[in-house]
Amino acid sequence: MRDDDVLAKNPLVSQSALEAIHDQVFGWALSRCDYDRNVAEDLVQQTYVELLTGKAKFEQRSTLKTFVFSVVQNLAKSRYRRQASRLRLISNVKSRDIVEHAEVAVAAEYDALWGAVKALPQRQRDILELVFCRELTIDEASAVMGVTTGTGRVHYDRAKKALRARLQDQQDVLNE
Amino acid sequence: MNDQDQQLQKMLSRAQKQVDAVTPPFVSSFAAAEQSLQSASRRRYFGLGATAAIMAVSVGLIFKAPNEMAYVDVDAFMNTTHWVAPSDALLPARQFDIYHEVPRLIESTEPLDGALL
Repeated sequence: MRDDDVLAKNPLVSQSALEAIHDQVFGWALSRCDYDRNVAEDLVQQTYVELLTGKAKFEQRSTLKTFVFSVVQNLAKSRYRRQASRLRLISNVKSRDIVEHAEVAVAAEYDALWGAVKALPQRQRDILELVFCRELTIDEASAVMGVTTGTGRVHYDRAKKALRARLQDQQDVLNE
Repeated sequence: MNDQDQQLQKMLSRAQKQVDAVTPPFVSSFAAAEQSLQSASRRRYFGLGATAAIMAVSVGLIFKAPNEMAYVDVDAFMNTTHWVAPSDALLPARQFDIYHEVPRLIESTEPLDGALL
């Protein structure tokens, strides 16, 4: 870690380390805001602000990736908590639009899979995304989600079973 | 992770990549964060400066230093005044003759019981 690369108020974080995980962080931010790109960019920017100011201080209790993912998760939660009361109606409409947009973005071959994933409960979706797509361990994913490892494991197992069952159902429908 | 899990992971991560939009470059995201931080701190410093100025003026007005105690120069003070005796002021003109009719005791020449009054 170069000295000039290190964040002044977060000495254990370097710009190059953040750059290395930037794609993953942005992907996680996207899924936190129903794939609204502008909101995701704001979320990532705000995450970097938190790191630059030292409000979110990395102390190597976890990997940097887990830590930054947690910051994104917390910011997204607080952002939507603030907006929830006044934008409930609008966000419902908006999220419907965004889901439609996401559906368009997925290639046809993944339609069924993506539909099955979206039908899962939020936490099951989150842990599958973190473990399968963002390459975190179950421990790390649980830390990001703010649940115990035991709870994380339960969500993970249920998510896999539910996803397989849904995919199997879809396959059966297609075979008929 | 067993084979089934790995297969599921492969499918999911491919689907996820399809969904993920093109990531903005790190440099621009980080620069935007730094810029917003700078403008925030500039706003904060401006606010602090304005507050400090207002407080300084307020404190100056409230705790203005009192005048120092000093002896009064009596002569100078008296020169600023004009004094007139009240009796003179009440009289339309100076009239000393009002005292002229002072009653005089009359000395007795007639004895009473062998003694003068």
